Amino acid sequence: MFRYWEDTAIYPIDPERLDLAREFRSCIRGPHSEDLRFLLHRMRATQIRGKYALVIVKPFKEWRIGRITERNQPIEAVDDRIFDNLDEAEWAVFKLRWKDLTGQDLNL
Amino acid sequence: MTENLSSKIRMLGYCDDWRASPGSTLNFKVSCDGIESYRARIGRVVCADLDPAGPGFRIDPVDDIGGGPLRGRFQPAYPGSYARIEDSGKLLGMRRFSAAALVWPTLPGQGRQTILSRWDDASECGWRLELNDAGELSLRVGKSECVASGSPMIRRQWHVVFASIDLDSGEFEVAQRPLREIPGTVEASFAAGELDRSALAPDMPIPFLIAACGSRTLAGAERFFEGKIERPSVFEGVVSLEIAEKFLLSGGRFIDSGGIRASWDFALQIDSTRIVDVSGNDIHGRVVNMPTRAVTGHNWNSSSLDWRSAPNQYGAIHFHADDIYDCEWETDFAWTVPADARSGYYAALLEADSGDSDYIPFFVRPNPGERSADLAVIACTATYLAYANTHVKVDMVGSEVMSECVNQLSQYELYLHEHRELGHSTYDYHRDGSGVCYSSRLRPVLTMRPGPYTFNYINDTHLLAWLDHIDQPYDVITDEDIDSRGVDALSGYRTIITLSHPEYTSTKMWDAFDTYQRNGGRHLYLGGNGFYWRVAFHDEFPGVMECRKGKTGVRAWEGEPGEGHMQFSGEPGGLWRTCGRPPQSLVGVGYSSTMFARSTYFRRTEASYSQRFAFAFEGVDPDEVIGDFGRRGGGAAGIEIDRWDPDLGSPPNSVVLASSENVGIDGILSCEEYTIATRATDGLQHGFVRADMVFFETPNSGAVFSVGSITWVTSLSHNGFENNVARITENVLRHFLATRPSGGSEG
Repeated sequence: MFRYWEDTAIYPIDPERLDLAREFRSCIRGPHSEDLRFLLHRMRATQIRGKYALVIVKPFKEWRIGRITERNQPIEAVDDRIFDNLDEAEWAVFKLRWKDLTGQDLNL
Repeated sequence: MTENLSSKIRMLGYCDDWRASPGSTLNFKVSCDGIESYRARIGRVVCADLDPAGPGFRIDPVDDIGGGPLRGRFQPAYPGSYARIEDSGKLLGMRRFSAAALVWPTLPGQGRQTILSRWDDASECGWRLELNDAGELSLRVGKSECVASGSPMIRRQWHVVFASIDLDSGEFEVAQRPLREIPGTVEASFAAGELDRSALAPDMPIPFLIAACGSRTLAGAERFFEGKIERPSVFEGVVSLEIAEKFLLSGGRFIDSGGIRASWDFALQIDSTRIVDVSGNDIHGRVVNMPTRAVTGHNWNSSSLDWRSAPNQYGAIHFHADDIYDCEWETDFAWTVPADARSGYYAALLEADSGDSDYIPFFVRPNPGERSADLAVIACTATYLAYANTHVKVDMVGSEVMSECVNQLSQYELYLHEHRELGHSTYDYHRDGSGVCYSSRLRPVLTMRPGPYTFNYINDTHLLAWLDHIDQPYDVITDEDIDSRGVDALSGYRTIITLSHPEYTSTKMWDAFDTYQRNGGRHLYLGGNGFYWRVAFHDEFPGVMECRKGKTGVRAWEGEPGEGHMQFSGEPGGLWRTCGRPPQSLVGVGYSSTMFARSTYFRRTEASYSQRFAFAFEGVDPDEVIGDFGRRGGGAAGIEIDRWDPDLGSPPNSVVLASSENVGIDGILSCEEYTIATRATDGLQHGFVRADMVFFETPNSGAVFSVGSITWVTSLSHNGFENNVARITENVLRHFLATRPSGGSEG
């Protein structure tokens, strides 16, 4: 039986690389530098349970950040922020993951 | 406290068949949660995309369902596969008996899971052999329980399980043993007990079930077994574990004491829902909710990968608590398609005063022999089925890596995550980690609703919107029509269009497309990653499709070794490419790469400037790039792209008219496109990462035009449909619809 393991993304995130955070902030949708791609892959490959997702509040207009739960359980809200800009929501998730993976707040 | 973002969906429905024709009647089944009444109307879908920058959501009214508001009611869905013995009465009257089976549990220790039962939950009478919460084998007889404690079963290992009940002596016994000795684990375990005779009644006329136990409240069954069961058998009298094991392992040939009351050989009639008793007592049964058959048994030795050639090694059935075939909801309203109804994509629109609504899609195609246009659009219902209710965004770790952005979840996706009873897609895993290989339309399919899940169904309606814009009449024919009717479903149409992602193709469909093309039919393949997976439908199981994933391709899950042949047809599943029919051999191009983050454009090749292809580029400046715009990733070459390759069967007369350019880092080569992994498999470095636009002639004045990109059709609406993607598509369509094409070999 072949199964894809959930912890295959092993690239370490260097909390000193604020330049990569700045690059992402200035260009959310890419294309990105190779180092930023590595960082983003590490962030996006986090395990599925607890992974952040954007729950649509109003289609094409408003989103909230949720966390993916176990099967059969409702998605959980991370906070009460409502985003009216998809790039801002993406950036907010980036900051949450930076904190999760480095233990440090991202302050640019 | 954590706030739950529960789905707000409160009404959902489906219809008994999503294919209708003038004069036929569709029955709609609706479940409402707290909605007392609603109205229903029928519309013809022009565009199902809510995107304000797209072609524009539009459903033309066709009919209202009369008779006043419809009454809302809740209709549950009951997943869980098991087998039910039809004539359980033949198992009555046994004072002393034993039962045994071979089992391969996949989730031991995760809830009570019944292996064999004759149990009435209301009276707690009867007996059931099961795994308890700790994964230990347990025999419950009335109020008495006997547990082979201290030896939980081992996940994905074969065990023999055994139980005996003696109502005369009042003794019962349970035993289990792994077939392979594993140091450090318990070799075998037994337990025996005295029966509490106060509430036994194990002889009640209640159904004998395999892989579940009876329930009066949950559609007849609950406590489903997760994993494989092989050769369940009931013995006359009290036999021993050793005797039962010898019987099971000898394929049911050896028995030296007592008799056999029933013994079900799952290796017989594998391609059906029937399970056959070989004891001679004809106590047959049927499986419910499509457990997976054609799976390897305890004795599979890898001498054959095909269940047809070694059926005695395929005597197991893999049951899952989350299998579902047919929700079996009651009909809430019906609609008879008027005799003059236009063919097309349709939907029933349900609306309640509360603002709740649903959209139940279906397709109206002409009756056989009643073609109404020269053009047929092929509704790729096989693809819609394959993706039906996909949970990839919430179950697959790599989904966000693929999309390269945080996944968005709609209300429908929230609902599917919370309500697994609506079943999964062929992209999903069952709860026990095995892949889902059947997908049914006899349930609400929430991936075919207006919303942010635009893949396939919604993208395809961009083409419909464009056909409406150019006033082009067309009929709609579904994949399932082609599977059941063969080339007859296509003959008579001068031209057919296959849509953005016709990825799933049965053998009958492939043969029909090939015959159609060779008979002079003209085919615009306006998609990407088409004709990729081989699938099968089954005459006895309407509305369900089977897809076995092989060892390569974009397979989401990988099938177990030896389980690559389909139950429905016996054919090898997997990629058509590995079955000797690369998509290039049908449409000139075949899947090469994904590019989900961004799309790109095409640039014409030198060859395209030949007079032979002038018809395609009329009105397009010679040096224009093609499709540097569009609603998916900003280009007409994107999401999934196909390339031309004569080594893989692109016909010798096929010509690449244009290729994608500037794919760059966004393109990622598919795994079947290289033999050894290297660093250089992205679009910056690898020449296979491209989309090719291809044209070739087929015999009898037929022709094929392929674009090899999912995002071609989602670029049609750019600039009010005034753009070179729409221009080229219309040029080719008009050319193909002409009685005698002026280009090609006749030009």
